[in-house]
Amino acid sequence: MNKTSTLVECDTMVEEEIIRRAVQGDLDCFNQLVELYQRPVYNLCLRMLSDSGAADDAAQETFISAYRAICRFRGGSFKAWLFRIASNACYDQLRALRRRRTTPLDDLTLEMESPLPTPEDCAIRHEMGEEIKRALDALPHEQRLAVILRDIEGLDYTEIAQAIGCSLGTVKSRINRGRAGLRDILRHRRELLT
Amino acid sequence: MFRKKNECDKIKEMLSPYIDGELAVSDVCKVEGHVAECEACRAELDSLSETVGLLRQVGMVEPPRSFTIAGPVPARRSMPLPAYAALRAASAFATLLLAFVFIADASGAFGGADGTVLNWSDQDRGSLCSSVTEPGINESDVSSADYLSANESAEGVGIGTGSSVEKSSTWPVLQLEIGLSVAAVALAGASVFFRRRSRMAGVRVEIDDEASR
Repeated sequence: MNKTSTLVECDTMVEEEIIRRAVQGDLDCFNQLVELYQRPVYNLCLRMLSDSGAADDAAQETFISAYRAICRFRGGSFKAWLFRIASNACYDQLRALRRRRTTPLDDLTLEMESPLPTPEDCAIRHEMGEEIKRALDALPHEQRLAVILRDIEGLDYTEIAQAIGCSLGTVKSRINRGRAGLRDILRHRRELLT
Repeated sequence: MFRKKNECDKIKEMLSPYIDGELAVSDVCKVEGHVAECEACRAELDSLSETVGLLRQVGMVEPPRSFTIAGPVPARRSMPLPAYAALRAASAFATLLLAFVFIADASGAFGGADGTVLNWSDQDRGSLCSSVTEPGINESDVSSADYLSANESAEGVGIGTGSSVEKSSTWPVLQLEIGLSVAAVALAGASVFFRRRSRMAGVRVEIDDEASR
């Protein structure tokens, strides 16, 4: 067994202990989980909603709902469980946004990661991020959620099935269709893909 | 050619799981074998891989603030689940009861112990007639005049002509029907209102239970 896998196992054991204590009602332990997961949860909400204010609300609602429900957490992937609550919070926010029919004031742009942050790279990355954001926004909600969970949040298919609340077959289908849709939308920007 | 197209469609459905390493070994061999021969599927695989590569370069944004919970969480804004369930059950019960009363009323089951009914019409005459005549006498043997005299002599029963009612029944059927209708509509309306309110508040009533499954 190598050193990296031992460290991962240690982290998993520590997290399981924190979850166990949080389930018993320890607020400090729950807040440790919040600190651990607030970045991926906020990013999921941001990618789904494209509105930083709504994403902030959805993320806060996610953790409040999770705190209320954690006593009923019955094991399995905590991340997938939390993302399911976050997905529901996002759908609620999407409904609210649709009712209000507002356009986000802050035009969020996805920033691309690059090891070479020259000005030219920054401009290209900014443009690329903008195109991907528009393409993601054009996808149906279910496909967008599946693609974000897989390609941006890095969940495996089983965790995605748990987070979305559907079968593995549906997950595969949504990811496949979502990626193909994105590819088609981005195709006219062929230079981004070459 | 048709067979070939079907095979390509099947392979295309497996391309994303193939990229993610989520395919069984036998399917991996199938995909690799097909892609080596089929140019269209190879192009599809390449373009999907490039799209995935782009998506995976998307950076994570730091949250603008911490979402830690400072103290006790305020009470849920939506209606608690047991109360909501009770409201729905009461609504269903009122509707069923209303349906029962309607059916019973239509079939004339609200005749009192002394043979009174609220709504009497020519159609009801036969059944009422049999209830006021002595056992053993056929309906056909009782003429309208006999019928009226028999009813007039019956204590506590007053019958007018046609479909009018002279005396109120011991069963306030109409009031019961109106009351139940109002109750059913009010309960159903309250259920819908609280359901919508809980959604607008951003908290779905069943979210916690669903998520914790």
